Amino acid sequence: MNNGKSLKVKDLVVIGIFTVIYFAVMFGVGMIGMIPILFLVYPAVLGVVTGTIIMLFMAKVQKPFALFILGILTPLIMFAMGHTYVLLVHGIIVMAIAELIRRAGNYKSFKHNMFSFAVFNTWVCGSLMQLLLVKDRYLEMTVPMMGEEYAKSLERLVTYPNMGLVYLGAILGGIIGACIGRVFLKKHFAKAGIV
Amino acid sequence: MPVLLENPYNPNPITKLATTFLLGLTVIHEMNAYFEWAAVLALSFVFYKNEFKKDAVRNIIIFGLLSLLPNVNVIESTNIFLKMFLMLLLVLRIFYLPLTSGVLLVKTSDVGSIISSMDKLKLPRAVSIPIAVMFRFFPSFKEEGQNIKRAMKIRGIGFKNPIRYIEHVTVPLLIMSSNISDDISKAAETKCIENPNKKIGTSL
Repeated sequence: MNNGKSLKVKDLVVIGIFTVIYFAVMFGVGMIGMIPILFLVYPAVLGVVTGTIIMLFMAKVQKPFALFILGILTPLIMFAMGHTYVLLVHGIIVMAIAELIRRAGNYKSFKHNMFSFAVFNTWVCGSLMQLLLVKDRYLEMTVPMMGEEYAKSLERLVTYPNMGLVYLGAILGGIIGACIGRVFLKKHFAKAGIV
Repeated sequence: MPVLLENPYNPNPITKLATTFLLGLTVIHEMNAYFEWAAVLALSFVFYKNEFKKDAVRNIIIFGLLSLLPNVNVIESTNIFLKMFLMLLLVLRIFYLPLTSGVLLVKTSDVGSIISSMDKLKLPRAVSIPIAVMFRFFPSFKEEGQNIKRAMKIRGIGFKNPIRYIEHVTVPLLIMSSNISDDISKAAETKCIENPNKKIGTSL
């Protein structure tokens, strides 16, 4: 544990800061979720946009559990803001898988980091997953918030086959985002001496 | 930002966090209007006693205006643009209480008291330090975001090409955040955050 691989205060500070950035960008992109059909494309778009952020984070902190902690904090904030526990449990499972993939590449290999980010990106699907798993409760929550129509169109769109497509979209978006992130890393951040 | 630690009306961050969480439950379960008003007035009272007099008054006025909103059935029958606008306000109305409580938590507590109260809760440091950093970093993040927007306006960069737009926003944002993160970690390490001991008074 103590061979320079455990998380130091510096890494924890980086985790905190990247959580803020990730959350702010996620919230900005989340505005498109107001229109029901785009809700299903949201994970893919999020992957493309946030790819750079998370890839830079993974390049900066190449240590165990860094991605796991970053990934847990965001669902925790969402949970505190009125989402169901499904999102949190789903998040923990997804983050554990992403962490294992990263471990397989010894936290350095780009290929492993890319797939790890693709898996990491699927955590947002949890907000749609909770619709399937606790349908009644979520609809009860959504109706006063977004109105009857929104809830109905959401209910029609979210089925198990569609969910598979959403997960696929999230993974594809994650891979595209990771590639964009790699280009940016080479183009800007390596030059500025940040990585 | 005036933060009065000695103020008897400034509750512990744990209390404020618990309040935020409990008020978050009102998003799911509707609350009696009288209780809602009691919560709003209590929040305003704490704001007032902590020298945030403007926030205290604003809090009451905004909630008063929001509580005048018609219910969902009436909104459903209006035209589409008005409906979208009213829906947005309705969403704000539902999230208003936890949101205000969160604002109170951020405005009236400093990083030191947040860290010490999380230590009391026996949270692992791997979780407590990132959360404390989030509190410290959020105001400067907002400020830097405005700076970036201004710089983009000066150079005439618009939303025409979304991919370029994302690049022009994220790259400076990430570079300045990395610099700030280095600064924060240096400051924290010089204050011996890594090896906490029992605090000893040094005054004579």
